[in-house]
Amino acid sequence: MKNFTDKALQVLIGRALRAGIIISISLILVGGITYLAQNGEHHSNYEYFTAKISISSILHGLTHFEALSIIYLGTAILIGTPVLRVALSALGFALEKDVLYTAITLIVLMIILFSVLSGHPA
Amino acid sequence: MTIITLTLVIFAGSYFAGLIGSMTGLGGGFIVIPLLTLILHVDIHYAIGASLLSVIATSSGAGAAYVKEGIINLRLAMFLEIATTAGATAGALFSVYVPTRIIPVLIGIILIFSSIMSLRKKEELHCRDFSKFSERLKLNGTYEVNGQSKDYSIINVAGGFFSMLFAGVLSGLLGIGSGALKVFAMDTIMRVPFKVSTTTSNFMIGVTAAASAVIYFQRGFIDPVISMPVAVGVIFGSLSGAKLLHRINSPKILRLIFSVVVGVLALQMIYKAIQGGN
Repeated sequence: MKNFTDKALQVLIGRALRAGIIISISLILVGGITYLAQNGEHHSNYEYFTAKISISSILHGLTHFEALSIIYLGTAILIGTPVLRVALSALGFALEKDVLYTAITLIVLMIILFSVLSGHPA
Repeated sequence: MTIITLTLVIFAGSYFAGLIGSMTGLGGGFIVIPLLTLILHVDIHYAIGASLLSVIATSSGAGAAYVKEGIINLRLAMFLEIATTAGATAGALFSVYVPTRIIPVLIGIILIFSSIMSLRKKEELHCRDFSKFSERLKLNGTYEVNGQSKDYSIINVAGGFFSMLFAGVLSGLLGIGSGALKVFAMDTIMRVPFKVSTTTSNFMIGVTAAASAVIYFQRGFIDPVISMPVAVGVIFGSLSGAKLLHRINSPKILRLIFSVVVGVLALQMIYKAIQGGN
C-alpha cells in the first residue's frame, strides 16, 4: 500500500469529483430553469446587499421542491467537493499507514469544520 | 434589467472566464468579480460569493482531469492547506471589520498582480538542494517529463508555509482563489517545479475557497440566482477550454489579451472605489 495515494486513490478522487460536479450542476440547472420559468421576467435587484438566508427555510423549501432551495443544495454540494477531496485523501494516508499525513489532513478537515461552525451570521 | 437577461449575461461572462481560465491556467474566478461589479452593478458581497463558487468549480473541474496524471504533490498540498484554510477562515471572519470600500481596491491589486504573474516566463527550475525539514515532512517528489521520471526537492518550507497563510487570509477576505500568489510562493520560495506547482495550487485553491465559502454561504453572500449562471458557465467553459487546449498549441497571445483585459478591469475597480462612486 505504499503508493496508494499516488495511483488508486487518485483515480477514486477523480471519480468522486466528477460525480460531485455532475450532481451539483444538475441540481443548479433544474432549480435555475424552474426559477427562471417562474420569475425570469421580474426585475433584478442586486445593487445592494441584503443578507437573507436561513438554513431552516432552505431545508423546508427542499421538501416542497422550491427552485431556490434546490439551487442552494446544488451550490452546497459544489462547495463540498473540495472537502470530499480532502476527506478521501485522509483515508488514503490512513491506508498507507502514514500517521503524520493522516494527522495533517485531519487538521485541515478540523479547520474547515471550525469554519462551518463559526459561519453563523455575525 | 430582468432576471433572465442578468442570468444570460452572467452565464456568457462566466463561460468565457472558464474557457480562457482553463486554457491559460489562470482559473475561472478571475473575470467574475469585475463583470458583476463593474458591468452589472451587482453588490460586491454577492460578487465575492459568486467568485468563491467559481474558484471551487474551476478547481474541482480541473482536478477531475489533473489527478489522473498524478503530478499533484498531495503531501505538499495538504501540509500547506493547514496554512491556507486557517488563513481563509480568519480572513472570512475578519472581513466583517474591513470597510467595504477597501475591498475592491485590494481585489484590483491582486488581479493586477495575477495578470502580471501569468505573463511571466515559465522556466523549469530543478532543485536538488537538501532541506532537512522537507525531507522529514516527505515533501520531495518526482514528476514525469517525456516519460522520464525526475526527482525534485523543496526548500524553505517555513517561508512557503507563511506565504500560504497570507494567501489564505487574502482569499478569505476577498473571495478569490489567490492561485497566482500560491504558484508564486511555491515557485520562487519553495522551488517547486512549475508543472507540479500549477496543479498543486489548483487543488489548493478549491480547498481554500471552500474553507471561507462555508462562512459566506451562511451569511447569504452566495445568492442562488447569481450563483446559478456562474457555476454552470464556469464549469462548461472550463470543459470547452480543456478540449480546445489540445488543438491550440500556444495560448500565449490569448494569455496576453486576457491579462490586459483583467488588468484594465482591475484598474477600473480601484479607480471607482477610490472615487467613491458606486
